[in-house]
Amino acid sequence: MTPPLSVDVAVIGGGPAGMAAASAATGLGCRVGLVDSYPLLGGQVHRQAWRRLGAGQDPVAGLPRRFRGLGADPGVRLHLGSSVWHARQVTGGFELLLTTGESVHAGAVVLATGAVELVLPFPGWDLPGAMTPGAAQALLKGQGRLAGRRVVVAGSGPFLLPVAAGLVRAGATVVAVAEASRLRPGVLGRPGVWRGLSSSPAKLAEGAGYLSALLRRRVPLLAGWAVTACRGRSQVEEVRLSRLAPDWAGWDRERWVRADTCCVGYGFVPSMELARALGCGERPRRGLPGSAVVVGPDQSTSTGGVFAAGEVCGISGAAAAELEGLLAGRAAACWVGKRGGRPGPPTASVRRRLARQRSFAVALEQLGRIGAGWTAWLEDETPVCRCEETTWAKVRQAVGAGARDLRGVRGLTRAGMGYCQGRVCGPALALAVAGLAGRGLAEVGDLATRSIAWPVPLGTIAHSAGPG
Amino acid sequence: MTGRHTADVIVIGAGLVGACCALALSEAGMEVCVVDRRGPAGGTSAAGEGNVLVSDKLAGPELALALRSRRLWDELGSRLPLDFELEAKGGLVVGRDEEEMAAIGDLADRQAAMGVEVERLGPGDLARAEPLLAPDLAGAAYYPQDACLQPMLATAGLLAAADRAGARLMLGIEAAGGTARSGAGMTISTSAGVLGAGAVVNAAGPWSGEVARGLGSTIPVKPRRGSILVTEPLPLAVRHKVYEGDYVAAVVDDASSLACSAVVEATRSGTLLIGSSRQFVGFDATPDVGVLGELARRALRLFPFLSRVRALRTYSGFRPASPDHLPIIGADPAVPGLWHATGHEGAGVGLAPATAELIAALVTGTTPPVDPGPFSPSRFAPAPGARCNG
Amino acid sequence: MAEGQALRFTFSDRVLVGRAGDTVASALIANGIRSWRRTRRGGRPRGIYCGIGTCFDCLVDIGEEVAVRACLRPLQEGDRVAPSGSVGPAGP
Repeated sequence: MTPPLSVDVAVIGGGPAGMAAASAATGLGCRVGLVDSYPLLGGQVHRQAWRRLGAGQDPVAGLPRRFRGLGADPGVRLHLGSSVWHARQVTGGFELLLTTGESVHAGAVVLATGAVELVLPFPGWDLPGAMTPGAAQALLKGQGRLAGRRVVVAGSGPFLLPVAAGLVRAGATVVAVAEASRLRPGVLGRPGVWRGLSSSPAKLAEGAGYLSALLRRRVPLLAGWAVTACRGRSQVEEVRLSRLAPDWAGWDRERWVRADTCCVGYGFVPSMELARALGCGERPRRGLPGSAVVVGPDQSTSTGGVFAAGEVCGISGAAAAELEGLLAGRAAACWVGKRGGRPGPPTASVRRRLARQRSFAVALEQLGRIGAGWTAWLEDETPVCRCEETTWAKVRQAVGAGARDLRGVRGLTRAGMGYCQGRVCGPALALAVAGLAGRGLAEVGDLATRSIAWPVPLGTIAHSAGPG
Repeated sequence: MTGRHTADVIVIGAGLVGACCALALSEAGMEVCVVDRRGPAGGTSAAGEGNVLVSDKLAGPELALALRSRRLWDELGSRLPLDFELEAKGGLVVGRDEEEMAAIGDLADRQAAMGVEVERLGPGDLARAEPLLAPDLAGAAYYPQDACLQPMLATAGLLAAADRAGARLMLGIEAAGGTARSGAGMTISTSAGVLGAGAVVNAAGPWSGEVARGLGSTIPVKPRRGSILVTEPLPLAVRHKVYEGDYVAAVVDDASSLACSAVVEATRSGTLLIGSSRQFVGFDATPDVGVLGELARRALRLFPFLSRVRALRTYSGFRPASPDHLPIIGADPAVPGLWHATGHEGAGVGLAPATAELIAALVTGTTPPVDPGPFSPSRFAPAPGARCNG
Repeated sequence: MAEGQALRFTFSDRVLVGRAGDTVASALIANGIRSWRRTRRGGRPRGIYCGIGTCFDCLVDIGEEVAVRACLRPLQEGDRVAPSGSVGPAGP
């Protein structure tokens, strides 16, 4: 066994939450280890152009100024291009096992593992050219490459707008932006919605900026429409847009549009595997698949010494993630006994700003719910699990054979057993199985318990997994 | 309430053993109801490797049951309404040195005397049979009858066949307790109300001790935890089920600390399964990465190429362990109408059909094809007044 | 966005050109290649899907490395890229 590297605070995830946590902790005198699977810091929101990679290039040069100190800080050790495949409590703290074979011993852990896109399958969604909005955005921000020339952007949630705006600005033709939810006047009357939306004028202005970029280029913006199929010989050639019935159970109008790419996503699901491995308390998400880590006012979880920040605590956006990261970094430093000076804004004002950001996020979540009838657009042969190519018919048969939860369906159909371990299909499968079995999302469970969080060579397991 | 009649037999547990019992009893003409708090194969059945083995049994009553069961699985393979991936891939028990080979050969001789097909392989034959094995191994015993299956598909197939034979499935229902009825049979209380039957079969695996307590009896079944590593899918790299020579020793090792022995095999989907570990930790399901490290280290000693192969996931489950490593099959010595089909530890998949055949014979009063005496639950009862089955 | 330096690589023996800052996936896409492996069961074409290392759809083999996520791997001069699954870790 290699002797572990020892730090005061280990931060898992190099997005806004993780960077803010690392900055805060090192500012208080902690030695910090920061782990991210990308070769550059930034996460999805602050994704840097990869042309900065290479000899002599600074892994922080393309970040907002406030994070650039992380690159040269002698108190911060960056573990980039590496994933934590297992985290566990050991005497005196925590041990993180990395896919590179290193292990990191830490007095406190900040989980800033973020979220993955929530996707719903549809006929043709596994054709080349069908992808998530995040994929198109990552190609553009990271590599300056366009995912396609004629693109449909669809699904639900505020993330669709920056993706579509980015694509048109880079020269793609966005054939349509289809938001599946339909904004009804009544929604604004729900408790907290209007107040939440009006609490963050900056965000509304940001959204308006994207909208005007799209409208200037005459991109059709459809509300209440969804991509319900795409087809083509060896890649996407045509996309079916459907005007959804209430609760998405079928549609009353449809049209096929020519496109080589369609980007479809319905929001995000927190990445919970490490939180679960560390025994952190979770809460279900209202009407949405997956769960989120429960945190206190200082971002502490139910496991002493483990703090969480960003989307893993619930989808609240980058600004909230950064504030949570700041609080988590401070609390983690305090946990390991570093209480020195308090650089940065006072905690009370951070919490006030955070409360505003969260109320905005809660309001947005109220606007977009996934209609229970979405499975109406699945066909028998539609693959639900991309890895194992489990069809919708097989899932229905499994429930018919008595499977009552996701584990049961997985056992009978292999859905969720492939390389991605159900990260892609799990949330949609939870919605579908809950519908088929007539049970609640909490009752059908999820596929997010992964003692091996990421694929790891057996040689690495043999080498680094010693007795606890 | 005592008059309530749900079925002739209530089977508690819809795992492989319960499903086999349901089918055998239905086909014996009984009206059967299967109760499970989860779904089919919701517990131990889904948490193993789907072993149908003769190689890991000491020469004795369990091996007789295993040989009978092996034939019954072949028969089920041709008549169940679902392909459950039964495959006689054969087992290779490999030895590292002459001492291990002597122990392996000794066991093989005694098994062969009971009708097990087994063949000795020298280092050259072994390398031809399994080319990616480490080159420094001394040899192996080859067991062509060793097979495996996909237990969840098998359970679903068995339950579908039982359903066709008239059995009723009540899933998502927890059996809380029960009492013997005056006259004959039992009444059990469940989360869906009170059920009554002439007989109750306890096929609740590692939970069968609790079920027995709820029904007014005791059986000494303890959960024993096992963990398995699953790799990424590969082109066919491992052809047989390959064990370290000390596997059988690990099976009968009673230490509460970790008993580990490498077992490596490929599944039909291309992934490799790497076991096996046995720990007495109660029902504690906390991941134990130290066990995974030990499994990986042992597997690499057999197959050095695995070093670069990635593990995708791990799963673990609880096996119903009995104190003498023999299953517990037959009438409860204290509670009339209560029957047990449990205590198989890691061999439940392999032994399920023969277990069910025994149960069906005992419940219906016909002659069992295998001597049930060694498996009788009364072997644990205090001597005076103990009843014998069969 | 400033152009990175040109990098030559091969995909199934075709010689292609990407640039510094490309991932293997983005370089393939820039060369008009949208799918680069077929699934083991149905033989269906796969390329990029999640783009951030989660879905493992974009697997390629690069030289001796098998089943590499093309969306996470920086393109390097001389990369020999092949559809994933053409050779397993166990060899042919």
